[in-house]
Amino acid sequence: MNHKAIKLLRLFYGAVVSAMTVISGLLLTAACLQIYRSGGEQIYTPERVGAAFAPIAIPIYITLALICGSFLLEFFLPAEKKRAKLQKQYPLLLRKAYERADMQICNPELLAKIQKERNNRRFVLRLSLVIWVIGAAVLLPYACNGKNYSEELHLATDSIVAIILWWLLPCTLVPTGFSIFAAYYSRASICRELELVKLAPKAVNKPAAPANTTDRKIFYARLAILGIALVLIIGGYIAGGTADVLAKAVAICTECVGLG
Amino acid sequence: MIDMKEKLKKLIPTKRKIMQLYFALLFNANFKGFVTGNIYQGSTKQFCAPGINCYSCPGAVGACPLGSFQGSFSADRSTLYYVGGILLLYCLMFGRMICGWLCPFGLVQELLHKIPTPKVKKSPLTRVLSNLKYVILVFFVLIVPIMYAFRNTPLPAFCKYICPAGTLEGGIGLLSNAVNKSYFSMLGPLFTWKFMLMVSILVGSVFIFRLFCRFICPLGALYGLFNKLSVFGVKVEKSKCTDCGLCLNHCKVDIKEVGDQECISCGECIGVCPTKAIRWKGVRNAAPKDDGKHKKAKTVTRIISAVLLIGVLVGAVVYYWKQPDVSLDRPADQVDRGNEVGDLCYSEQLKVITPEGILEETADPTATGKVTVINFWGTWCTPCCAELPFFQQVADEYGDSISVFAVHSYLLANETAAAYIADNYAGSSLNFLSDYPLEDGSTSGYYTALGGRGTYPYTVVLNAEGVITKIFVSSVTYDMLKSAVEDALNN
Repeated sequence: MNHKAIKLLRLFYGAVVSAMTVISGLLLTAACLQIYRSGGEQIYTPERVGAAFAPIAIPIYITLALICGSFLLEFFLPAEKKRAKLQKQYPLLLRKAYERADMQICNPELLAKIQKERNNRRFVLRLSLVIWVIGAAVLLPYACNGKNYSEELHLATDSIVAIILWWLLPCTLVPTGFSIFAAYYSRASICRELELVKLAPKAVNKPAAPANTTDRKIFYARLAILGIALVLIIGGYIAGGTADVLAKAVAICTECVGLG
Repeated sequence: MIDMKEKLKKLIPTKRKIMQLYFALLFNANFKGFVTGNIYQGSTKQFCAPGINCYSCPGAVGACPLGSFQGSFSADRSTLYYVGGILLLYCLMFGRMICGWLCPFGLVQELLHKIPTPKVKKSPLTRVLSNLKYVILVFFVLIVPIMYAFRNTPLPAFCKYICPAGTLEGGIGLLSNAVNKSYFSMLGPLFTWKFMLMVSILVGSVFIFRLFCRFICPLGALYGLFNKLSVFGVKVEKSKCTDCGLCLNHCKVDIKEVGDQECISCGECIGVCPTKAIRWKGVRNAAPKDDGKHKKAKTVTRIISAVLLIGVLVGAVVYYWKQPDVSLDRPADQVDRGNEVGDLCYSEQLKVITPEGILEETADPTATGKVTVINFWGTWCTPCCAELPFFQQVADEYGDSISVFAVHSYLLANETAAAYIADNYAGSSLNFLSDYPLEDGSTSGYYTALGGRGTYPYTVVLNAEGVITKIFVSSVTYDMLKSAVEDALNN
């Protein structure tokens, strides 16, 4: 079999396995929803689960067989070895470009353009940070107010879901959306700046970067954290802190495993 | 032939995969639990395992650090110190290296990602999404549990609403055993949501490398904050680095530089670096010597390490296999009684709890001569506390025609129950009793005798003759309880 045919076969097989995996996931979800929607005093019974999952058994088995097949395909008809296409790491390239360039003798017009590009990028990134801070400032006072959580424990989920829907999601999605824009803008901006920095004259003898002096600080920070951790563990252990951990761990936490 | 040899060589798992598998087995060494369908209830569960490994998994032999941390806010302050100290120690020693080497759920995701399908590569989008785990850490692990801790109620929001490891290892692990058929009765909307979320994450992991770890896992977020400080992990020697970017290209997670908060210290970049600028932290990185003497010493060290590791694993499996199954212990002196529907219920004299404390006075909940409801609860159990008002309501409604007992589990010192009763049920018509520990002190005796298998709340309804008419292996609503009492009255 020639390489082209193998490539096509692998591509086709990969697409089929992907589609079947997604379909299997959807079928499992749909079966679960179907049981839930059937309602009744006891929603899930072994019989209902059996009845809902039996019809999807064949597609799931087919998916599993296809997955096994894909490993065999990988073994007997491996992909042609080729050097992976390297993604350009623009921040690193920019750093390198600055190391090579001598900005002191750079033409002022070019310098102004570079500065403008950097300022724009910084503005967008700072704006993104500000939006996150605003989001947190809106969310935290509401989320940290005990009155917004139901006193009735069986209504706790309803109050938490309400906070998630009306406060957490908007306060997270808006900053996330802007961060995504900022991330892509930043990448494009770095590319533009890179092109500009490449135009700057080359440096001849640049002084070496100062030696790293953070090792000692890290050592002391580690020592301090280790001390705190050991004091907490020993203090907690002596005061009987293990009892609650044990209690939670030996009783089946129905909430933790979703049995509810 | 050489081609085939090379292909077979490819099938040999890497050191990291072997270690991941090893720790997944070690943290779940209670193989007996998978056979019997019971969770391990011994003392090793007071120690937290480093990775996400649900303590409700039948095989789990340690506690989940995240579950324990969320629970610790509403417990005694010493618990918070103990769990916080352990987490801090893990952060300091390993950082996110735990995610890459020790976490069983990380292994599951990596194995799923091995399925040869088109993959979603990292991009600025995934880099931004990787910040979501901090939102989850702050809201689900800190804010919500702390808010409910002010009301002395544990609510592990991350475990309850999100954790797919809990659903997979605990939920599915328990439900897949026929012995736990009764657990189906407690499944409802929460299970539906968590099952759907788990399926989505597992299917997503096929296409996106470590989907859960990168975007959702709050434990990884916490460990990541200490990555630069951690004793073990990977680091770059800046003096040797040429900024070629090969490490970033090779890495599958959203790092900006090797060893930052997203780095899981898998070490795959070490072999890629052309200038050997990346190295392990906390170990000697001596240049390999190829002479025969060193090779031999290396082989001997490897063999000794392998034997030790296998010995520890086999020892652990044998140890846990030999542990007695507490849920099978039943009173031997009451052969005519039982713990299933239709059986005359096992009787027991239990100490009475009042708001003042535990009294020496005892009561037998099966000897009232009336329809009796026996509810097993604990102050540490949120669903138990949530349903107690329904028992109160039923007790008030039926008055003297029924008796309602709330038996506090021995899992924690019962003194906490007295304080809780004083705050919430002083002068209540509920009869509060205190369960007793089994001989090994591991769990509650009467609860076990009545068929409790580690699930709380647990409720047994008896008719006037003391015969069991209904068992609830889950939370009950007022309607469910009333209906069971009506059935028992008419029985």
